[in-house]
Amino acid sequence: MKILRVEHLTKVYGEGVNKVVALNDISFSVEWGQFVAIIGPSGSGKSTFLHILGGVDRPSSGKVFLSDTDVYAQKDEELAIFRRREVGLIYQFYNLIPVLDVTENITLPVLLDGRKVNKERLSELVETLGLSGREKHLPGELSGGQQQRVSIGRALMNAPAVMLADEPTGNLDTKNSHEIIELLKTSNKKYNQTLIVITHDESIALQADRIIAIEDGHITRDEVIRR
Amino acid sequence: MNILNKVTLQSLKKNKVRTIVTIIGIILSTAMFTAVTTSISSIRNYMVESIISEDGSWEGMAIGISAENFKKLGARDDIKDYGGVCEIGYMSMKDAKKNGTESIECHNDSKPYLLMAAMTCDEKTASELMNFTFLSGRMPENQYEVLIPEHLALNGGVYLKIGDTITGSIGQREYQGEILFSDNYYKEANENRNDPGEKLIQLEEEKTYTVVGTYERLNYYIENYSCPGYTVFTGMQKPLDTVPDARFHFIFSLKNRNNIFRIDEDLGQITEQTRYHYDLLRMDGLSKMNAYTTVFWGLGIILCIIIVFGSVALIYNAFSISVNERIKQFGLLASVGATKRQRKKSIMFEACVVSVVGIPLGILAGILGMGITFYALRYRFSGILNDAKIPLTLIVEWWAVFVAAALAFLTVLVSATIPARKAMRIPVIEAIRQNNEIRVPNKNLHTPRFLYKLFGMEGTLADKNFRRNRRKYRATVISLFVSIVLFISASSFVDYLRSGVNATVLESNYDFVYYTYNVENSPKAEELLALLEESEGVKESSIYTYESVSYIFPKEMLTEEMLNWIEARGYLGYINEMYREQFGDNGTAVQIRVGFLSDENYRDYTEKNNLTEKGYFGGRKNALVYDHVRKSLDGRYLEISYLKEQEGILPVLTYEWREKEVVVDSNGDEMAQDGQTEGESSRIEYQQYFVP
Repeated sequence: MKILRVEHLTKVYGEGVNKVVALNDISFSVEWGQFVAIIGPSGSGKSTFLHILGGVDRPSSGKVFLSDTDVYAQKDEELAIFRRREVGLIYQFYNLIPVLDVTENITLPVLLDGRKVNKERLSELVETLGLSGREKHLPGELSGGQQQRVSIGRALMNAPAVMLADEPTGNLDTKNSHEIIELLKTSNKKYNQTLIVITHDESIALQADRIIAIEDGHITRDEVIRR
Repeated sequence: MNILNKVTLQSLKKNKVRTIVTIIGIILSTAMFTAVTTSISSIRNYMVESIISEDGSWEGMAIGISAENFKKLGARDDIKDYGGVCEIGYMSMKDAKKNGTESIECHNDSKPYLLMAAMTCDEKTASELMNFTFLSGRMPENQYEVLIPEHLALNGGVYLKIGDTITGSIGQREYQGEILFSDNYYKEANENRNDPGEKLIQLEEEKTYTVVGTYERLNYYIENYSCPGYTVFTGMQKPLDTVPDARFHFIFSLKNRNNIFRIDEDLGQITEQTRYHYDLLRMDGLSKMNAYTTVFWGLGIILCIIIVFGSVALIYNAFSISVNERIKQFGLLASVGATKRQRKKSIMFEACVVSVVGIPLGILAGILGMGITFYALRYRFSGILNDAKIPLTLIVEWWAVFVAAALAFLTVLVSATIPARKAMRIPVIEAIRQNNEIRVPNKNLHTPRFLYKLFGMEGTLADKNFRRNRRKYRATVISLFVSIVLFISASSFVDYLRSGVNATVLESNYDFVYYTYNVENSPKAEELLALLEESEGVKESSIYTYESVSYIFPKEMLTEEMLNWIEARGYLGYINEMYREQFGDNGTAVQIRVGFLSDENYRDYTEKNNLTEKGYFGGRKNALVYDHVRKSLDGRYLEISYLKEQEGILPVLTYEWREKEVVVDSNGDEMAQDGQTEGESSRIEYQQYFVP
């Protein structure tokens, strides 16, 4: 079953002389529960691609379907709500809210939705992420690895259909990188969550079910490693 | 608490300096609003107090009602306070005797009577309602004791001491079969027209009254200008029952001032006339003559608009910094799924938080500031609006605080909304990267060489900086523009205010002025002057004698604007009628004031105004004409030059001039040197001068 479907996706920045085609007519789809790694050189358009999948950026043309919802047919307000319920985003630089503590950062999407926090799920997440005892810490008081765990927690909190990670280990040492990828893989398996990761790290890419290579806004390679 | 609000609060705490700057901005702006609104409420209150101190707190007056109706009105439940005056009747001073034998001579031919009256209320109510002011002696206790008004001596030249008696009979005024009241002026006998004038019909037997005290003249609403008698209060108790057939005035204030015109109909059926205390009522906007209040509120509104612009600029900048810092935060929140509305709300929440702290502090600061200002100025205003020494005090009314708070909050909201909009326009992804502020258009910029020569490398850099970042450049220019506009509007506002005040209030450089009239027993001007010159602390003193005269001017002498004004006012039409035979339509009456100065003062005056003595001195009928007069028309003040020619001859007609010997200080409006002109018609040669 397809969780994600992309049709003729094009993204153009700028105009005239400054025109840059970041994505050029990309079409592809992802199966439910698949772990996809996206690789490619700097400036190949992979971050743009991920952002468009996550509903953060708008495409110039083309369509994105997530769980059969035409993502960009929605209005801004609907899109924001869609984002917080259906997508979990993880960034290289964590992007946590510095003035909120660990618990608050993790539960942010739920709180923004105005719903009650599922305490069990929260403690399970905190446990799984190895953040026990740090619930009341502010991001500034945590190490990079810990901060990334918080951001993973935030992405997982709403049990979204798709997790999107933009170089989640790009800023971490080897040990932490390994742990983070293990966590992502665990959630991929444990919660049967679809996971799309952008990475420069070949060892990470090789752990994925499928590798997609992007160059100059085109998919140049798309191979399924395991099923 | 809402998680976004928590983020906002925490961010505010984290950026203490910025938060404090924002709050200070809000405090300043609120303090200014508070200053304006509390000034309005205080000055309004001060004016109300002044009016009450002059005329009393009465709001309406039912003139000439019966005792029965008086009682009925008193029983109404919408009346707050009431009191009244009972007119028992008139006593002719000519027929009355002082201390049994001496005759009483009144100098004022229009006021030959004593209006014997009684109060229907106690002294306290009378003083509150109609500013009844007891001066000396004691209050009368029975109907044979009387309190006499101060102006009986000052205006009528009738000097009575405490203990003196007046013997006479009280009667009713009648003219051609009709009864006359205090509103009807004295109808004098006129032999030429075969008019015997009014007569007094005796009501009571002759009685003897003892003077026990004096009081200040009642206000003009009660004893009006045309009243032919001096109001003398007897100590008659319960006049409503004792003399129920007499004429009563019911003077009242209402529980709710807004209902004042609603009882008009009820009163109309039982009174000869209803008078309203418009001076007081218009302070509450309860008058058709609202130009006064319009000006007052207009000033306040203009000031508030200026402050709104000024403080929006200030608070907007503070918010703008805050929002710029938070753009990344907004991006993050957006990427996690915060909607636009949620983010906007969060900015509004921030505005509310800083307002909650800033506005109350600002109100306190404003009240404190105005309190100190008013304390310093408390007696400066006395004498402009009232004779009584009522200090200007700070009155903080709830509406003033409310309006100030509302205006300040509005200002904060506007200031917060502008940068919020800007923040909302930035796409989420760019907000996260936050590279918006350093986006530079990719084009070559040529900096003119002279800039380098003039300002060096720094100048070149500044030029590129500005041209690459037009938005900041614009902000700087707009800030400069706004501050200059504010400065100019504030200073021209003050200028207009000053000239407005000058146009309505005569400029004067004296502290005291004494008036003396050409009546027997009143002090001579020269004696007063001598007394003043000897007094300690008197720097300068002079005498100015003047006579107001109506002249008939040939129309060709007058300027267009003066003729227009005369036309518009229908001024002195009756004089024109009188002289139509002589002038036809070619002349028009103009009232002017001819003033006389001593030689010494006149010389000073000409010197001060750079007018050479020669030409103005010597001739017996030479005069200077001050040809720059202020006239009011439809509530506006106009400055008019009325004579066409710089030099010429004024035909002086009509009245006979009484001989004057000395004259004036340098504040006379128009003046002639040496006033020995007599006879029916004369001519004055004049030369115009203008005050530079």
